[in-house]
This record gives sequence, structure tokens and C-alpha cells, in this order.
Amino acid sequence: MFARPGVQTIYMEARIRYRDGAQNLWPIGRQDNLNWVGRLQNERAHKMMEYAFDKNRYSWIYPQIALWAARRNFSDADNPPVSIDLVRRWSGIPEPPAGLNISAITKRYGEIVYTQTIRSDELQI
Amino acid sequence: MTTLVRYWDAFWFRARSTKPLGLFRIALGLTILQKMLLLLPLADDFFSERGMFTLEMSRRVFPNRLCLFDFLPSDCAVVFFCATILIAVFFTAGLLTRVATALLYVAMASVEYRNPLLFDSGDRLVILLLFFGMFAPLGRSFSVDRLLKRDCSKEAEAGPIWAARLMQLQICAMYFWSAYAKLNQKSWSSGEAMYWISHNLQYVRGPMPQLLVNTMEGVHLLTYGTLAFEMSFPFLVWFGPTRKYVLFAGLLFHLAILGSMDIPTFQLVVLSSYLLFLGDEEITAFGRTR
Repeated sequence: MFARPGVQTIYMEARIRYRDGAQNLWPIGRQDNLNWVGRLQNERAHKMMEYAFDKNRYSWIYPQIALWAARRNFSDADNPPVSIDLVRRWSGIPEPPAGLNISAITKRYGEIVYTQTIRSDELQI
Repeated sequence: MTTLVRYWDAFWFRARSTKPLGLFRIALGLTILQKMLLLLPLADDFFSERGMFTLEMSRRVFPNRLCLFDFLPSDCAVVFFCATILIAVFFTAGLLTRVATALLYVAMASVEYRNPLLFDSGDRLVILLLFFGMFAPLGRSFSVDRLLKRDCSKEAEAGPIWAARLMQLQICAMYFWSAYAKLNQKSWSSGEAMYWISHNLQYVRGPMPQLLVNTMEGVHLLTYGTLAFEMSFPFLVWFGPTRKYVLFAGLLFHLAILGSMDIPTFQLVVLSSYLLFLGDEEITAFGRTR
């Protein structure tokens, strides 16, 4: 484990657009803003997102993740999600020794890796 | 030559106390239970056709496999997980132990094959240990099976050791190859690896000792200390005088990771496996001090 330590912290974010134009940002596999219990519950999602979004190795699962994110954020039949952007979020860890005393991520980057339009019938399963 | 053959024979085939195996079974069972109980609320998200990873996708990652989900109705994950938790309770208690071990092996392998992107080397180690465990007398000590037999003699508690030896060798191989893989990486040979690991806030939940992770001297100590421990464990654990020291070092090492990073299953399964390296007399002595 950790034979090749990562030099970035990575997680994923789903940007959900609703029919009325509203947007919602929904982090998936983000650990650094959770408490101890939350981190324990979220650990598997974090691992999966790291596998899937590191170098886009598993880009073929993005459509299913987008669909799942839409279903999980669908609560109002009159205002369903109409599109999903999957955003890869990352922050570089500063080279040592510059980052020795930095305890928080100071700069975060984002890149849209996939966009999908959602049909209403796809939300019902 | 005869001495060598005799030693080889004793190493693999002499009947020994199964108390270490009994304790190992309980610890491994509890590890599996914590893992499955944490996964249960996520069953729909990660293991169903409504979730983020369909069965067809899992076949793309592992086309040739033995996965029970291939033969079961779709979206049976919650029921499957509940059944697996029940089997894990049987395994932990040592009830129908051999059957429970075989079923648990197939169930845990199926869960891993159903969504391999969720799991890491700790989960694979669980499956390997369950495989070897099918051939080991895991239920002969500290088990309901033993209570039901009503034979409390020392002879009834003894059993063949070869499958436990395979598990021990698996742990040694894990440390050896882990150290070997690290030695070929620049961040480990330069002594900076633990800097990158300890500053990845997606894994570290802190707090970590400032003196160790916020000074380059501390980082070097942690990095080279990790390498030294992983390289020496496979050799020192076999000899009586060094075994307790290397196991104690490993205990501290894995407890430190368990307390500061989000990799619980790996630490718990490795610590469970340490019980396999204890002798009967060590367990009895520990019991006497309680």
C-alpha cells in the first residue's frame, strides 16, 4: 500500500442542473470536510472515485455515475434534474519542505470530465 | 539431511494447539463484520443496477470469475449482505465453522467481484485468508463447535498446522513485496514518501505527531522506519527471540495508521493475522495476566 504515494488529493463532484435552472453541487468521495464517522462511511466512495477519476482510467463508467447522481438528487417530480456535469476536483500537495506546516488545502482545481443530459424516464427505475 | 527433513515435517505437519487459530478466527470475523456493516447502507449505491456500477460493468473488469451475483436476481444486494453478515456471525462464533468459512469465502469474493473499484489490498487479504482458512482447524478452539463437542481435552484442541503456515507465509510475502515495490520508487528511496502520504487530506484524518510529519527529519525517520519494518518482518518473525519485538513494532505501526488514516480494513485484518504468530504458551500467559 502507498508504494507510489499520490501527489494530489482527488475527489469528484456532480453539478446537477434542474429544470428551473437551479444548480446543486454534490461531492462524491470527498473526505477532507467530514468528521470521523462520516469519513468511515464515505471511505469506499472515496476509494472508488480515486480509481475512476485518476487519469480517467475508468471513463466508461461516467455515464452510469451521472445517471446515479441524477437519481440520488431527484426529489421533486415537477423539477427534475435535466443535466449532470461530472467535475474532477484536485489539489496539489506542495513539494517538501514548503508544505511541511500547511494543514489545509489552499487551492483547488476543477475540470469537467463528462456531461450528460438526463431524460425524465431515466430517473424512474 | 534427516534433521532438515524432520524440521520441515514438524514445521508443516506437526499437530499444535489451535488456540491462536481460534483467536484469529474471532478477530477476522469481527473485521469482516465491521466491513459488511459499513457497506450495508451503501448496497443500493454500489451494488445495484440503480447504483453507480452495474453488473455488466463489473464483468468488464473481471470477465472470468466466480461471482454469486451473476446467478442471483438483480438488486438482491441488501439480502445478500444480510446473509453474509449472518454467516460472518457464525464464523466469528465458531458455529459450523468449516461450512461458514467456505460460504464466507465465496460471499466475500463475490462482493469484491461485484464492484472491484471499491476495494483495496486489505480486502483481498481477507479473501486469501478465508481461502486458506477453509483448510485450517479454525473451529477447534474458542468456538461453539468445541462447546458442542463437550471434549475439553488438550488433544481435542490440537490440530494440523499447515494451512496456518500458509497464512503466515502470505503475511510475510505481503510485507516483502510491499517493501520491494517501495524500494523501486523515488519517493521512498529519497525518504520523502511519508511526507506525501501524511499530507494527503483525503486519507489522513489527523492529528498526526507534528514532530514526525512536519519536520524533514521526522519524515525521513517514518519513511525509512516503514521500509526497515516491512523488510525485516518476513525474516525476524520466525525466530523466538525477535518475534515478539517485530510483532510489537507491527502492532504500533498498524495502530498508528488505524488511528490517523482512513484505511481501516487493511489494518484490522493484518493485526488479526498477527495472532497466527503467537504460541500457545504466549496466549496462556496473556490469559493468566488478565
